[in-house]
Amino acid sequence: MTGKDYSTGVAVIGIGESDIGKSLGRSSHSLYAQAINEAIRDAGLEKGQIDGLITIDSNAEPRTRHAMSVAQYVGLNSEKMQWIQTSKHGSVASSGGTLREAMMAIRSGVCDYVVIAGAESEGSAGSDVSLTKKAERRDSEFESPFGTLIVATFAMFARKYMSDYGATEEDLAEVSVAARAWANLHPKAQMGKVRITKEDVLASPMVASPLRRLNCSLVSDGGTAMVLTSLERAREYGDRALTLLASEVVYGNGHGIVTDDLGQIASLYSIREGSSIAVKRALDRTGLKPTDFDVHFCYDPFAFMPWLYMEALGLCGEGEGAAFIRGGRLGPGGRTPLNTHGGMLSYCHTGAPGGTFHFIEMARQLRWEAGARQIPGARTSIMQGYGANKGAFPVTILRRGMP
Amino acid sequence: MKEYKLPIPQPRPESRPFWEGCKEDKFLLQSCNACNTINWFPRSHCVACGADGFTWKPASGRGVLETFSVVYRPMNAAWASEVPYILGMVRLEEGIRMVTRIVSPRGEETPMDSPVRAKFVQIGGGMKLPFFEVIEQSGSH
Repeated sequence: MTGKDYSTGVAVIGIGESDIGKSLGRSSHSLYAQAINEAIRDAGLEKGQIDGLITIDSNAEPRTRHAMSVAQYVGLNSEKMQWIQTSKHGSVASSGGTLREAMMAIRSGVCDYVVIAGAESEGSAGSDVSLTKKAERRDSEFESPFGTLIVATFAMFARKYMSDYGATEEDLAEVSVAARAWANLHPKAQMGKVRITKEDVLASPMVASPLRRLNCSLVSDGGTAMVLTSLERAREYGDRALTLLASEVVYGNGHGIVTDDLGQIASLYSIREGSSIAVKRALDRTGLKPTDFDVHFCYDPFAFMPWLYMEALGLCGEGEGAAFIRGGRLGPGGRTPLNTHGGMLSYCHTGAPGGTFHFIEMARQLRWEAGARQIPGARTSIMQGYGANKGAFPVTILRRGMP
Repeated sequence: MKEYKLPIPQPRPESRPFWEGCKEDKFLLQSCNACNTINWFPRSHCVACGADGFTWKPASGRGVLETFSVVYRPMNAAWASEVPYILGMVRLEEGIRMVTRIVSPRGEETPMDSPVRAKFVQIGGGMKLPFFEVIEQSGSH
């Protein structure tokens, strides 16, 4: 085993996932119930043993006390309950933030068994919720009046990268095709039955240049849940437990500038800069190298983002990410398998909880339960997260079994 | 004038002078009386030193177009008559950054790093928004 003898002292011992799909006609709370019950069963626990719950606030069914409302709906009402929290930071929460919050609850000794969950019915709620409401919850003075369609706010960063480093629309298509090829191997994937080629991507309509429809993530219904506990309690699970080796987050681009609004960001490469600092912290703590990961995950609402994450991890140099992944590197059979469920581009994207599906797939890979997508012998995996309008970057490392 | 259906800025007390300036085609920035830091967006207390006294100073209104996207898909019906429009990020000479609408006859072919200047566009509610227009360089067509 490579690396130092370091972990956070916390492990994942159960996973659950609801049905997913474009529009299931289901409430967000019902998706929570399905995923949470499955995760508790998967961990071999009873609801009465759960003493912590962290949820992710919903756009489709917003509640002032969201997590309390979910606890009530699901029946997580043990007298042992110590901590019920709504994580409000959307994509930050789903792409590593809630794991970090669970880690804090467990390491502090407050909680024994924490459920983190995220579910959303954005597909059923329609585009008025998935596009308009989200855009209008941004700064109402300096963003939404100018037409900050979410795709466009990302597309500007894609154009900058392509202009600076010579990446092309073909390079964008490469990422979309790799994600779809993984989804084609997943029986639950929203786009599992639809195959695409680079030509299909390049022929799809422009949404906000340079991003075409097939460079953009899906809109979906679905939810996930995980159960976390201390390493001591996880020991009896053996290799079914996944040790949380590291959970870091960097706010802003790592230079002390915390931002929530696009006009305030310190750099047009804040994704790479922020994530690379979070990666460095995680690698320093664990003694791992960029090449030590058997399977990779990153937040991927738009096809250019993996370029930046490859660079942030240090697998290639600045500006080399697009060229690095050419030739099928991220897809099935490639040397750097990424988002093996198909990611937000082809598996599902439920809005704020969208990043949680990456962790479900990571757990399946590390438990060797990924079926046709299995990376043989996968033991160590990394997720590079994202959030807050290019302003927050979680990094999470999980490893199969106990230290 | 037809009814304006897009979001209209709702100024807060600390940002009202900025929007009043826009009505007079002026791009005003807060300068901290204690430490001279330019604050952007408008705040009640200086982001650098925490003091609460500011002087509003006119900015040059000039900057550089750092990047942009041409938006083809309206986010809802209200935006349908606006597309295609250009959303861009502008860095002003004063060092601040703004996400704003870009006016450029060259659309997708607009060069990166083009010089831009503020262009105040009348919207609903008696407000004006600071868009930025690309300054066509002589000799570049």
